[in-house]
Amino acid sequence: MSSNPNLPQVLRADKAFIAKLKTIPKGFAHYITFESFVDEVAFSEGESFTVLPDEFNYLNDEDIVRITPNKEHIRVLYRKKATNNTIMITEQCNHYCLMCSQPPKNQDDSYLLSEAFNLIKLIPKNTKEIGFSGGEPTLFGERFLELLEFTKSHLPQTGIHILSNGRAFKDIRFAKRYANINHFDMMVGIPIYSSNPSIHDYIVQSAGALDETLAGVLNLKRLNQKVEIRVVIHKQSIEGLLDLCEFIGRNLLFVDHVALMGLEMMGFTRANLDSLWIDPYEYKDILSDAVSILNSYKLTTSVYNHQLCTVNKDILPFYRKSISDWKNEFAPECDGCKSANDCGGFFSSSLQHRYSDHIKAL
Amino acid sequence: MSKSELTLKFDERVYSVETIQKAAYRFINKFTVDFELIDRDILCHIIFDSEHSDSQLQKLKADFKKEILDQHLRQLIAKETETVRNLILSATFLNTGLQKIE
Amino acid sequence: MSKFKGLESYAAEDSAYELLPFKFDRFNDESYIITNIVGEYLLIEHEDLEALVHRKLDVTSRLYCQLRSKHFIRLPKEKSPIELLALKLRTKLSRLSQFTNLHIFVVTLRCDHSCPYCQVSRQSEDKSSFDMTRDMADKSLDFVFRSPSPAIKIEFQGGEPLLNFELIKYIVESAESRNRVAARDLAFVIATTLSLINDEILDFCKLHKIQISTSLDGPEALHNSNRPKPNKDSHQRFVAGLEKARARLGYDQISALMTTTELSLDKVKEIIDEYLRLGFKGVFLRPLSPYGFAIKTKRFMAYNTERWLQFYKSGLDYIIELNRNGVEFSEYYSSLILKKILSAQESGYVDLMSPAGIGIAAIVFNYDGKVYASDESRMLAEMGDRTFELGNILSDSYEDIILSDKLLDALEESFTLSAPMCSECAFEPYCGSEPVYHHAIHKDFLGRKPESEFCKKNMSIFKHLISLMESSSDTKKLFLGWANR
Repeated sequence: MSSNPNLPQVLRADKAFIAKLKTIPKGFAHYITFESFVDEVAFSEGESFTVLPDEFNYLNDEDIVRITPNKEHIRVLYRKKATNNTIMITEQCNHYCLMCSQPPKNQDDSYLLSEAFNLIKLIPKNTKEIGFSGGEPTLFGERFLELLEFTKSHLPQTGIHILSNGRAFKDIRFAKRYANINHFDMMVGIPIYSSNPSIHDYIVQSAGALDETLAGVLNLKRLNQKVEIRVVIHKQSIEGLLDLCEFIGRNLLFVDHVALMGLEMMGFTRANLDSLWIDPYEYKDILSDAVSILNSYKLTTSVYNHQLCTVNKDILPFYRKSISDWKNEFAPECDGCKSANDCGGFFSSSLQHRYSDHIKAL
Repeated sequence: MSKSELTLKFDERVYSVETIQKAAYRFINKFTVDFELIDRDILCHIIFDSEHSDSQLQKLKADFKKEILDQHLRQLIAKETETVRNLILSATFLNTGLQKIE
Repeated sequence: MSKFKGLESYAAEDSAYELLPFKFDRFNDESYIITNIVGEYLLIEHEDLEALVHRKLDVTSRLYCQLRSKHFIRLPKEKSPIELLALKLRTKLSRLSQFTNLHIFVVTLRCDHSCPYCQVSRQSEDKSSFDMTRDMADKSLDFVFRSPSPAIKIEFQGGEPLLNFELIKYIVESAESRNRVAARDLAFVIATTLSLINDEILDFCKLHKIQISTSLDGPEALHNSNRPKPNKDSHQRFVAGLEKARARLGYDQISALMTTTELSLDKVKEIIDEYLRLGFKGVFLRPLSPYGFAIKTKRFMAYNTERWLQFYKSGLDYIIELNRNGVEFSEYYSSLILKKILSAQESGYVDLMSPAGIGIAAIVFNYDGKVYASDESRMLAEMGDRTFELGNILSDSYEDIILSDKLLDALEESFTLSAPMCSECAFEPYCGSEPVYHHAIHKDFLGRKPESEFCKKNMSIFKHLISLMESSSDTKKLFLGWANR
């Protein structure tokens, strides 16, 4: 979509215009407006338009949305201003993680992959990075690799970040095919929750998972591919967190990034809240030690999805404002906080369901 | 001060001479051991380098016996892990391509 | 009925584990230490050790988790423990494929100091019969560039190498011109007391990116009594030289080593303070080695290993306290060992290598054309033990020297994985074989380990470092930092 009324006619034919004023430029394929503007905007005959709820008011130039023909469903697929745009290409998964934010569905959803191909064509060429996630994107096998190649061709300057459990890469042929895409900036983010296979396998609800994931990580690094280890911190992973950090330092020193992440209150997390929830404030010293260990091993380390008032000061060099900007919200306790600008804030799901009891204005 | 010699008896079905020899090597700076095999018994004649009090002798004797137990356990482990050890070594020397990864 | 299975479903088969290779030793009266082939360790009770071997471990215990994640056991199906162990072992052994990268040139034996513990020097400053010739230097450089190592370090030693600065200039320039074709990662170091440093030398060092390795034994009085000069101005000249060199070459281009003499033993705090005062980031607490004049003058025997360990431990305590108070400072010998204990990396320190670092990690071209397997080897030769004299650079070829029986025998016999006691020692992954040391004392390459002071010293240090880490998480954090510098 476009918000540019001066866009040359020739470029208007395949774009939707975001109409918020009375006079609207002619010649766009479609028009989008919002409930509170709908009375002001004067559409001409023959112009097709969609009225969206005001909560979509943030949509802006070069954003991409998907609206079903009956206009019952709308999904925002790409936001120009977001620092990371992630495309979900499947809801199927061979894990069943206790804290999955996107509970897997075991049904054919290859239409999502087809959509992704279409979407890639629409994304602006100067986009810095896009992500692919699932479910488990590698379950599509060869088709997934084709999507990566396609993306490389259409968005040659765009970095690619893939969220995967890494198990598919245990097959060295698959890993080689992946490496042969030869992308200048492509990284796989792979979750590891414990150095103890039983705990990891329990958290992802799949026996033998850690062993295969590690084999995948090793294959990727053998082929000089970028790998990020992602650790979600919760009640099941906190106890072994320091052991895990030492394990990474001793065994996986060659990974490119380690992310220690707070829990998102989506999907299964809410169902399993009792066995997952631990107040970040309670584990802040462990988090400091974890970062200190990783940093000692000179691993590039980031802390994601935490609020500044729940972490110790020594975390600050590693603290990232990671929560996507349109999800970035604050709690009532944050009123008057001078650090809000530097703080990642909350997932709206956290504000709704559960967040630290120790949130306070700094 | 007490005598500086001592004899210990072990059953060959429980401990090998090699096990006891290995244990004895660790005490080379304190005593030497002569071995004598009689039927199924291994007799260890221990000759101490210097004079020791009774309690010191008892301590050395206990340490030596403990060391024999440890050596026995070491051999169990070595035997049991031999195959996997070779597996690791062959993986170490045969695989290529990872040296570059630091 | 939950869609999720409990933890027990994923731990059900766990008691059917398989042992991975490991070694154990008594650590202290209460506990045992177990180490695997890449040096990961755990301290455990004796009954846990028995339980581990006899499959009686509680699979829900923390120990069981640790044993699995540190690769002491695996489930039979698991492949990643083998792969990861192999990978780490390969990293540790990778220096073997690098081959010789430290080449020591003894450009002169002359010295302006007359240190009583010095292994190798001659006071007479004017006798050119103690200088290396250009012909020897050329032949030695032929040898250097035969080394397959991608990184080549040339270190100038003496005596006082600056007394033959002309030859240093010649060697640096020749090496650089050869390297225009050879294209190695070439680096130079001069080991000097700094007493003779001047602007001309510094300009040359600056131009050719030569680093300085120097000696500081402690505060003025101690330093001067350890390192006598006719004018008793060794320390004063050191401080002046240090300042000058730092200003010209850069603060981090100058490192210092200390030697512990009998006089140093109760002054460890003062020594460390002197290093602090002069802006060093750490100190290498080094015992006297049993070579050369050190033995002749009985200085080496003037204190025993036990006493040195006391010195080392109280020094380390003080350094840990400094760090606790926010002063970053480290002890380098500990750092080298901690690297082996806490990381998959190897320190490459010649004394702690197996097979021995001699010939492999370092080789020495002596002022008289003789080639030695290590710096200590030539010191031993100065005492009359020529075991590690590999040949003569003027008459022997590269192959003669590098494949000499003397070197190969020493290497083979010193391989700790096959040595009595070492082969089953839990500390073996952290240790080295030091055949030169053992030959100096015991007249064979291995020494009898129960009697070896080398063994005693290192075992005590290993245990001490591990005890410190186990008893304080702050110390563990600090040590992790040292290990990964």
